[in-house]
Amino acid sequence: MKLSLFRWLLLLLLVSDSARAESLPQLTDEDRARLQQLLSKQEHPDRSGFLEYHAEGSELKIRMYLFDSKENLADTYTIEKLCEDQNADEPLTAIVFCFLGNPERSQLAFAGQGAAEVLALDRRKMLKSAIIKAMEKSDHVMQLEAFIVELSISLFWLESKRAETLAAQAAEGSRELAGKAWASGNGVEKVEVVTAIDASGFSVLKSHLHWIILGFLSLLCLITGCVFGWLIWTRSRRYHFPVVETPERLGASYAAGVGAVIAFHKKLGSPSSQRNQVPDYLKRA
Amino acid sequence: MRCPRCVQTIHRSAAQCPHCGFVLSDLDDLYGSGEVRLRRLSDMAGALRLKERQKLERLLDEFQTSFPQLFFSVYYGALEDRANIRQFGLWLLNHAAYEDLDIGRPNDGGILLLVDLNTKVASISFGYMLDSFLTEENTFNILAKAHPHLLQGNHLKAASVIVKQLSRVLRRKSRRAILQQKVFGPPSNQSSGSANALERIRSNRSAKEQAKSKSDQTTRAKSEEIEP
Repeated sequence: MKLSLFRWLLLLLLVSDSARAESLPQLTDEDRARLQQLLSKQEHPDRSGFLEYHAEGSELKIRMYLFDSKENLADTYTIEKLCEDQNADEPLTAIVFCFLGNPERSQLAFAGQGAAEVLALDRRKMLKSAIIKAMEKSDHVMQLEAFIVELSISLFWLESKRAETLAAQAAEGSRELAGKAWASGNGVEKVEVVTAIDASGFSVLKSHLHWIILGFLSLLCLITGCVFGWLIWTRSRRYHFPVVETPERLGASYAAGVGAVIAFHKKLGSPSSQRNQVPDYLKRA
Repeated sequence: MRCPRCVQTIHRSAAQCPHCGFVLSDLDDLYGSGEVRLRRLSDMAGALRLKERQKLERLLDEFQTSFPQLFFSVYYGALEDRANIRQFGLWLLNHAAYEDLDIGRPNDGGILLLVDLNTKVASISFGYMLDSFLTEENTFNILAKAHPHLLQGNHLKAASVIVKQLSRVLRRKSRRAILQQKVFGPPSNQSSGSANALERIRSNRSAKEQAKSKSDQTTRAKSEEIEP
């Protein structure tokens, strides 16, 4: 059945992981290249190399089926059926039908565990953005390259989003576990360790948030303590003056220090105008 | 320094004003020669309310705590002659006997803020202890800071501004004086003016004369004993 299908629809198959080889054991790379020669000898390893590069750095792999632009697929053979039949038990994988020279016909579906959790809206957005990127190029091979790169980027963000969801679920699970242990009072004999892959730095920051808050509060307390200490020290400090024997002036036994005089009977008489205090008889009438 | 009557500059150890001949005893004829019993805060003109007086009293206490040798007193009065505020301040600080002050704080270390609500004039007078540390410019700057509050009639605020500004100036001067004392040693009595030096020379001379006369007397007595 597989061979009959490939005879009229499968032109070239690019596989991003080793699982693909197991599903089609009867076809070698030479066979595929012989069946369809849509890509040149140089272009084929370039595209498959990028898919392998993506597969190395991502949990979410791409499986791409490449067809000619005018290739007609049989009604019984759809991308959804392919996902259900062949990839149901595998990890989450993106299945792509690409039509060389006609990117608008491209199709995208998710197969494997957790495929149902991927929203149709997200899938449509990813496909649309990849098609738009591909349409920016005029050359067919360049279109294919742009499509794959854009799809890889979109899958990276999807993966990050899934990791955040997983982390939140793990945190919720641990909280529930702790709550149960607290309620029972017996403690938990075996703690389930829920590992979550979180690529974003925000979650790391979030996990250390209580330490950050504690440090900040300690610093605040230290500064407040220093300020209060300084204020108390300033208030309790005593200031002394050296006692100097001064000769009596103007016959005064305790004080002859006459300081400044300032008048405040009119608002226009500013202090600066009263700075130079002169005898009354020297003032103009 | 300035003469409180003619406001001319005079020497620090002038016995009387060389320009107008002013001495403190001239004021005794005018205001009296006896002691005047006062409190640190004397509100003769009724410028402050009870709560304001209490607040100002606390402020004065804080000032005394910070400066154990000094005290700050405030006098709100209604004088008749505007020109006399300097003279009245000088006379008051020399004749005041403060009831709410301990004996350890003589008037030498006193600072008097005198506010005349009749002619709307304020002045600062201070004792001999602060002669070397407070200048007329210092006191003017302090009064200038309180000028807007005095204009508004907010006498509590004006007094508290004056006390705080004065404390700041005195703290700085005290730190500097103590530092200088550490570097150059304590102030000696020899540098306390020409009058003291003259007095010391006279006292030395009199002591020598007394010793000489004593020795003369003993020689005479001895000679009288030998003669019979």
